[in-house]
Amino acid sequence: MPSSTVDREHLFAHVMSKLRLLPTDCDGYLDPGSGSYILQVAMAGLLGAAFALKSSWLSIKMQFRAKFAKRK
Amino acid sequence: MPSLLSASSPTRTDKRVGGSFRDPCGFVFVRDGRVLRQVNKRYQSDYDQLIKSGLYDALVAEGLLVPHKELGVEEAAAPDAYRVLEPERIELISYPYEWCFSQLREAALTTLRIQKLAFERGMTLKDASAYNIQFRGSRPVFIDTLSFEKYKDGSPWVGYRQFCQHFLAPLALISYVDVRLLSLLRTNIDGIPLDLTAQLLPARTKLKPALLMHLHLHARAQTRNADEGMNQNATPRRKMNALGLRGLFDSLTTAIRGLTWSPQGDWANYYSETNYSDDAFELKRELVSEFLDDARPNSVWDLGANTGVFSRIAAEKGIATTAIDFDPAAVEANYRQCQIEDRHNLLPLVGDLTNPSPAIGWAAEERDTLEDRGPTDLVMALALIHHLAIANNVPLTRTAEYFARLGRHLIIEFVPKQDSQVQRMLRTREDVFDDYTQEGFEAAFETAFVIERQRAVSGSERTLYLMRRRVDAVD
Repeated sequence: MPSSTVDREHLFAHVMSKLRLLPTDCDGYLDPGSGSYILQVAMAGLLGAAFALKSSWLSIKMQFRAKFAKRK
Repeated sequence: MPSLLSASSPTRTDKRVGGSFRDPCGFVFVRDGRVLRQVNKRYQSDYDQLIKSGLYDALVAEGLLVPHKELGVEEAAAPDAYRVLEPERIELISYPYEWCFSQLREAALTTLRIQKLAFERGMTLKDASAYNIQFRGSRPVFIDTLSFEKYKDGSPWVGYRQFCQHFLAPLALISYVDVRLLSLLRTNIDGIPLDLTAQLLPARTKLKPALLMHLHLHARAQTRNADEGMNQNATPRRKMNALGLRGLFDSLTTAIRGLTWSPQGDWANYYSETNYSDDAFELKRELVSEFLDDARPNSVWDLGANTGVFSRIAAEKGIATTAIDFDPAAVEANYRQCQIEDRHNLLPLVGDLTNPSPAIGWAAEERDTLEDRGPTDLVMALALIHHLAIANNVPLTRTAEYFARLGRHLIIEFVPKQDSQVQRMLRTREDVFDDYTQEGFEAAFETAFVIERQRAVSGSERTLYLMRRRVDAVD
């Protein structure tokens, strides 16, 4: 592997470590995989926001449907 | 198969199930034909939480988790037991590489549903293996009672990687590339590697946010951090909040629901393509029904079952039936029909008899061959023999020997060379099958079976046989 690639990988790992995104212990028998772990934590905000928006939208839609059904 | 001596009785020999060794919380073993699960003391608090939180009852009530009876620890097969469980028996263990697209999709959605219910009760799945799902007819059910653990605030989902490799990757590959890529699950026991998945998927899948995140970016994150598991330091980990986790489960559910697959061509072909007149087809149905009544099996494997028309005759008699066909489209059609009918005793599976499921995994003992999961009471091989003998050059005696290893009885249809389907097969090749005659067929099969009944299917060139395995046919 070219040294520039190695340096880049180390830099990435270093940044992730500083951002406290790397797993430090594993209680279960299964290796969650560092990459999988990092990705989940990195995407948590986005996934959470999308889920909150979707839930709110569904709840508004349900309320409108309920009102519309009553009028009928 | 490894075996161990029982802790409670030194004279009792139990057999550990080959695939049950990774999780130190317990293991599955077989004793006198009963399948038992030992729960070790290290799993005590998680097991208690599973029961006390009401999660076990909720999952069993929804038919999502296999129910079990608790036995005393004196039934333990090894020291350190907290409980011994006897789960409800699954008729035939099947593997993800034997499922059709919709079975794998249903298994994925069941896993996510269970994870969501567990999370609501303060627990989580500590793995997300597709092998934890089995089928009772058309319904998927989770079988690993020890997969639940207490959720620790701030932790991400440990099973995320496995879920993507076992479910999302194969489903996306089938949906966007080719159904035959399901066989990658056979060569990759822990699911399809995500870097390979990302390479095989077309670039347009990067435009789907869920596939971009869970497959493409996931693959890149895995490659970049492949060595980090070895490089753990004392830095406290960043937390994953509950909303983020709910978002993850929801995103995976949306991704799975968004994947579809239908075979090319017309679905209707799979229901109507036969080589029979209506009368002859009806007579064949009646004969199969009669032969089943004569043999009175508890279980049937219908080999070359197509969409399961004849498998249903057995299933409707209350017989636990497995319908195996090499064509994923036929199995897909069969499974969808089973869902509509809510069949509890008919299991469609993908399987190629000329290359059946092998033993795989550690010491080739984690997943069994089809033969090792038998024998079944009765094998059905209807409109199959010419495919084996002529299209695949399998000698009739070899077929007879193999069928004798698979089942105690056999309903088999002989399709002679005059039949239009055989004629079609021979049109493009030399006829080197001198022994392929009705007399040759009977002589070959009588080496392993006794012919109990035979009837010509009038209106066709074919003959149906009911045979019983010779006592000395298998060791």
